[in-house]
Amino acid sequence: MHDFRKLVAPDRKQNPREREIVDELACHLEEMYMRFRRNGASEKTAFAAVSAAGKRLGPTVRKLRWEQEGGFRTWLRAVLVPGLVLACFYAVCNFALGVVSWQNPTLRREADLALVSVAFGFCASSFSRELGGRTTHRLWASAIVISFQAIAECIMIFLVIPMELIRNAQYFSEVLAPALLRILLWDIVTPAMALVIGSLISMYAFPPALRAVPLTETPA
Amino acid sequence: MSGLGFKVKQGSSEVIILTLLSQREMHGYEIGKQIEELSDGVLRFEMASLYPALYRMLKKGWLEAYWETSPAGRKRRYYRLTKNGRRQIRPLRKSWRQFLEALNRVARLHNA
Repeated sequence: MHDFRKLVAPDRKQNPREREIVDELACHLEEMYMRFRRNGASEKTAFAAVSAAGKRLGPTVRKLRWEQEGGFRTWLRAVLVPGLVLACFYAVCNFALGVVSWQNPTLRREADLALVSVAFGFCASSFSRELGGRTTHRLWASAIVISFQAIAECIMIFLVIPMELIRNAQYFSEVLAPALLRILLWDIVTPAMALVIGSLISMYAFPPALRAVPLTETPA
Repeated sequence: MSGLGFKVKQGSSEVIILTLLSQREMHGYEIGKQIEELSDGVLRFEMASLYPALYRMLKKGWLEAYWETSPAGRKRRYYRLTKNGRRQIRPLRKSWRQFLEALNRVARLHNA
């Protein structure tokens, strides 16, 4: 008898979490094979037809595993992975942008950063979708892109404010407070909004993949 | 019936599967075959869309699955409705009836 499990997962190192899924899909292929045989197909023809169906099942196995997984794993895969990978690139890009365009007027620099942020939001959301992310996951993945910068600046703000308050309260209100507000507005709020806009563009361009199950697959 | 679109598409597989399983417990292949036979071959669910729909409904708690070995010694994973799943059938059917009636009124399907 043929090993239908090998058809479902030929090259994959068997993931324990996928075992049950592979077993179930292999059962399905076995039923298909037996039906072909009952209808008079030769062993070779029946197996070739079933093999053709089995070859396309790799992405399905992965999707089913994702469907089975709990909330934390989904977040890890569809939010943290794309978000943090792109956060690294974003930090580098932000730094490079600062080096390249430090002489430009402030508004021009911030417009450049906003455009870059839209692009990163789009990429993070699309990446998350490829990893099985849904609408919320995709939005979070895009928001996390700015996390490194936000954390760094929040640490700076929360360390600087108390220290400066202790040293010189007047200096804080005259110089530091407007500067901090500017940092928050230009470095956090604007790029965050641009990231969300990028994510929304991605969601419009690539609607959710896993949930849309068509009513008719192939009209007879 | 607001917010149609992909929710309708998703609901289409759900209402079909829930209705079939309300009659008896079936395994995945049997569900696919039943859909094809009852619709005279018009509706065909490939494995890549049938199983994600089943797993999604398992996750929602509408179905439960169990493995059973047939007298011939073949293991199959059967699906059956839960109480929660049974409760979903009526509202889903109602939404679909409304949708099809509206579609019929607008697109005049009965004249096709």
